[in-house]
This record gives sequence, structure tokens and C-alpha cells, in this order.
Amino acid sequence: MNKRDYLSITLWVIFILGCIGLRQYYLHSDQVDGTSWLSRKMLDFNYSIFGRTEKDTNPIKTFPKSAVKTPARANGFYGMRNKIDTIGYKIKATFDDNKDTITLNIQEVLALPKISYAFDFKCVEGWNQYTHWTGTPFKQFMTFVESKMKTKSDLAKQYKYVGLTSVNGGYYVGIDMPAMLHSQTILASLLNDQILPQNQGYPIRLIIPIKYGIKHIKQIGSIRFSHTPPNDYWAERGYDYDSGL
Amino acid sequence: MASEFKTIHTLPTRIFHWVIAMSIFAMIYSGMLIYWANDEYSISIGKITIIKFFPNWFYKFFDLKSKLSYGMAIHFSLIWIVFISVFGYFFYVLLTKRRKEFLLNKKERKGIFPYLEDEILFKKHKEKSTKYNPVQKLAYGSCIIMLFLVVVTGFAIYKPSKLEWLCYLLGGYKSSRIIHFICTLGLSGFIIIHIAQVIKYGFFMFLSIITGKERIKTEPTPIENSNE
Repeated sequence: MNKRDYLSITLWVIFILGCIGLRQYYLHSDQVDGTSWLSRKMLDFNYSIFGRTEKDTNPIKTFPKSAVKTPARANGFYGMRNKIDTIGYKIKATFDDNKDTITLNIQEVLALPKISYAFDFKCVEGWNQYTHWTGTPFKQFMTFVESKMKTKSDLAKQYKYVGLTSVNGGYYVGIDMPAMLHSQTILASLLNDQILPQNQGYPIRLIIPIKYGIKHIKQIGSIRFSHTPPNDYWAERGYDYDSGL
Repeated sequence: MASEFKTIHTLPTRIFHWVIAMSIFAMIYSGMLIYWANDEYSISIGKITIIKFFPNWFYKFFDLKSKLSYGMAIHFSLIWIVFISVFGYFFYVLLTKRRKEFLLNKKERKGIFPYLEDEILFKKHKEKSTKYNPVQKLAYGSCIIMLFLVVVTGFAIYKPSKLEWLCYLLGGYKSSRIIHFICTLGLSGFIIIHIAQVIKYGFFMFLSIITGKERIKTEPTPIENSNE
């Protein structure tokens, strides 16, 4: 054993103690929305690497409707109402920059042009299944909203985030604008060409294939265009804000 | 006791070993917290389940229940450390002469079973081979391959649409997840045997992965003679 070996052993002990210390620090460090600030920093860093740009609207892989073999699994009923008054159902749109509140009738929204596709739906829990949806691309919906606004605006350029809240306010998601502009991000009203079942978010829900299922909010009641990240139900409870795939 | 030391592990090998060891440990733990949320795998013949991954007592014993968000936060915070250390080590082995340490030579390919028998029965090997004996070569070699696969499939599961090509290469989302899981099981098995072997070979064997030097006995002591 020479000096070098003792140095190696010392450095090894420091490394092991450092790992144990990091673990202890991690467990007791400041929490940012239900998880250590260290994890928040790292998850945000991962988003800066894997996040999409506004031009990145290439569709992800879709499947023929025949690929759908199992009935769509219904998971998570936070913030949903059992009885929905379809005739009076309205979607509210608000904006950070002006105080206009636009109220849209569900019939107007459902009358917008739609696309359909089947894709591999993925849940944070680890399961996935093929599901088939029909709905209006969110980009198209935004143009529709713009046409209703008094002041002329370009929502896609003006705002960085979109916040969506369920009809009774119990569930809410915040999504970055590039993801909302993705060509397959739709406000879905049909599942397997049938009207959405109650547990799948009747009358309208979000389908955003480039994110985990926790972002596919059901029974949308209001939509907010925002400069800052809107509140997100699961991100507040320790999950990744991006939850992108 | 007269003994001398011979360098067997290079400095990069030692650094990679400990960084990978510590991070893989955290990855296996956090990975099990994630897997718990959809624990669908089992080994079964027909309708009879032989092993369920994992039984309820297992989750209870290691306290793995209802910590999905905690598991995901740790797992995805560590991906870059694991990625750099595993890929670094993988290419360090592949591109240097260290590669030869893990490849079986002609003679070894024929005579692997006696070694395996000695290994299982915890006997000492009669034949002194190169740095690693054939069983070690197979174990360490497959460990490196499993580490590589576990990282690659991990990225495919993490970003299946952003890295769609990678997910496709690995046979899709479900297949990536199964490979990821099987490699983790393999690595866990390797770690258990590896630690048992270190205990078997003693303190100086353990020290060799820190200082890089192996003790070579020049004069056998009476105690060791009686062991043989």
C-alpha cells in the first residue's frame, strides 16, 4: 500500500458519504410542488432537451381503427360532474392580456371541422392501449376563438401556455403552446365514432398524443391563454409539469 | 505475511464502477416505485402463475406502494448520470483492449462447465486463467450488455414519440418496457451474486476496485494451506 492507494481509499469514502449525504439532502430539501427542487430542476432540464418547438407539429404514429381491440380504459374522475346539461354547456375562454371573456356554446364548438385517428394512448402508470378519437384540432379551435375576439390577436404567438380546467374546477392542466399547436392535439367529442361516454369526459375532452394521459383533461369547462405556466393538478402533486412523450 | 500488489483495474474502470453502482441502485429502487403502478408481468404456464412480479409482500417489505410520483422524480432526475456513465463505460470497454478481458477464448468456450460447477459449489478454481475466468467473463460481459440495453430501452419508454425511431427499433413501447424490466431483473441477480462473490473472496478483493490493485500471495501461509 502506498500513498496513492490511501488517496484512492479516502476519495472513495468521500464519494460514498457524498452519495448518502445527497440522499439525505434530497429527502429533506425544499419542496417545489410536491417534489424536491432538485428533481424540479432536472425535470425542467429534461423538458429543455425533449420539449417540442412550435414547428415540430409532425404527426406521431397513428393506426387504423381496426387496431383498436379493447374498450378505452377510463381512469381518473377528478373534477367531473355526473349530470351534464348539454344544452346550456358553455366553454369559457380567458386571456392574460385583456379582460374579454369569451363564452362559446358547445354546439358551436362541436360544429367545427374534425379529424380522426387511432393512436397508442399512454398513462403515467405504465399501461398503454390503442384508442380512436375524433375532434377539432386545437389550432383550428384557436382560430375560431380569435374570430370571436374584439381585439385582433394571434394567440399562438402571444401566449406561451394554455390552461384548461374541467367544468367544476376540480381538475386542471397547464400545457405549453408548442404542444397545443401539435397537429394531433384535438378537442375530442367522439370515441370510436360514438359520443363520448360520461366517464370519458362527455361532452368534450382534450386528446394530446404527445403527452401522458394525465394531460388529457375531461369535461373541459374553461380555457385560459397565459404567459406563465397555469396550475396543473398532477404537477402540484409531484409529477412532471411537461409529462411529454 | 508476504504479499505484493499488482494493478488490475484502471482508474476509469474504478470511477465508472462506483458511479454506475450507486446510480443503478437508485434507479432500481425508483424503477420499482414506478413499476408498482402497473405491475402486469408474471411467469406462468397456461393459467398457473409461477412467479408474479411482484407479490404483495415484496412491495410491503420494501415499502414500494403508492409512490409513483416520487419514483418518477428520482428516476428521471438521474437519467443523465446513468446515461453518461453507462455509455462511457460501454464504449471505454468496446474501443480499448479491455474488450478482450470479457471475450472468451477458444479454449474457454469448450471448457466452461467445470468453471461453472466450481462457481456454484463455491470451490476454488484449479486452473489460474487470465484476469477473469470464463464464468466471470460471461457474467461481467452480460452485465455490460444489460446496462447498455436498460439505458437504451429506458429512453425509448421515456420519450416514445420524440424518440419514435428508437422505440420502433426495440420493437415498440410494450416490448421496450419488457426488455427494460428483464434487464433490470438480470442486473439485480448479477448484483446479488456479485456481492456474494466479493464476500467469498474477501476484503482485498473488495479493496481492488478502490485502489485498483490485487494482492498476490508470494508465500502461502499455513492457514491458507489448511483451507485447501
